[in-house]
Amino acid sequence: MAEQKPDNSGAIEPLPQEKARPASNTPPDEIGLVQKARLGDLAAYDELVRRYQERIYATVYHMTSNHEDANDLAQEAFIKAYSALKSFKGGSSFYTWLYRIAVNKTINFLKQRKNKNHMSLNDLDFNAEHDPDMVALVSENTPRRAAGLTELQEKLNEALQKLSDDHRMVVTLHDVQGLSHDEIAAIMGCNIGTVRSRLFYARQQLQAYLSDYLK
Amino acid sequence: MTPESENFEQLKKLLALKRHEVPPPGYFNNFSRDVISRIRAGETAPTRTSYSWLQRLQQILSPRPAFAGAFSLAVCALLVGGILYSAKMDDQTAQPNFANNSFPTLPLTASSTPTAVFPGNPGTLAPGLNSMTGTTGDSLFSPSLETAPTPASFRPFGN
Repeated sequence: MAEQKPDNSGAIEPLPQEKARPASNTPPDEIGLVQKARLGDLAAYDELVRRYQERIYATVYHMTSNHEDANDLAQEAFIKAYSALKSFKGGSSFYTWLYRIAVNKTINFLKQRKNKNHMSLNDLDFNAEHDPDMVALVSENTPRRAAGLTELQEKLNEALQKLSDDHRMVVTLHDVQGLSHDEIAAIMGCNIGTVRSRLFYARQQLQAYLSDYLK
Repeated sequence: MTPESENFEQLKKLLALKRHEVPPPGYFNNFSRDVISRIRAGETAPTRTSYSWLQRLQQILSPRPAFAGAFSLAVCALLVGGILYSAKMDDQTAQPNFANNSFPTLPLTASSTPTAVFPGNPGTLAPGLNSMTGTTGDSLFSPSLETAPTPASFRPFGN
């Protein structure tokens, strides 16, 4: 991909290395990529997009339960992040900062979309049928033994959509994406106690909605 | 393990199903390309300040119906207030003129009708015509250029 000429018109401060180095497992070349992208290097930004596209898309998708919306929002989050890169001070990792943009964009979108929920679910991958946990859930623990994974998927997504946006976000980031409480607190801009309480409440709610499938 | 935490374990297993939901094959092959091309398009497109301003306002107001209602009420109140204020100002400026009856009135009396302006001497310029330039200093519609009726005496034959 052709590199874009660096924009040297605006004085961009270099990222402070101490601050930019996050506590989490950030690849060592990421700071360099971010620095180049800040100067207008689209090839460097393309690399950053490739690195995080799946995780950002997945987060937005699990929040919206709609592939088309997730596609638009994930792209917009990356575009917004690029335009805001000059204001990125390196106080958190690029990954956390990017997540925060995607999360805010998604929550704003969901507020506007209220009462217009239309699910457009992705297909399950081939591994789902062979996942022992999934097999057990369908064949043993589900009262309706005929219920397939697809039905389970629909019920799960319906239950998730009944949660508030904040509760769904915490469940998505923790139980689906596997992020830590610390990371979620940094992304959502709240303290760890709030994350824990939201997670507990969300799980209780989900448990009630999906009681038939958890016996 | 308590029954509650056991149930949460079951729930976590069920939630793990979400990780198997994947977009169509090849979806991520084009994702970054689309993002970069949209960035490029955005950089080359002219900025539309008014549109973005309206869009931003819409984004702010859309998720907050109460705030949107209050905002529109405030705008309406401002509009009505402005109309009333301007009407009041008009009244204030018009009232003294009515009170003093100082509106310029057209001279309707016979004495004020223009009298003959052309003395009938062909060597003299008509009044209002500049002697140096030959142009009229007054408007074409000036009363001074109008042909005024000349009083004529009527004397019947035989008298």
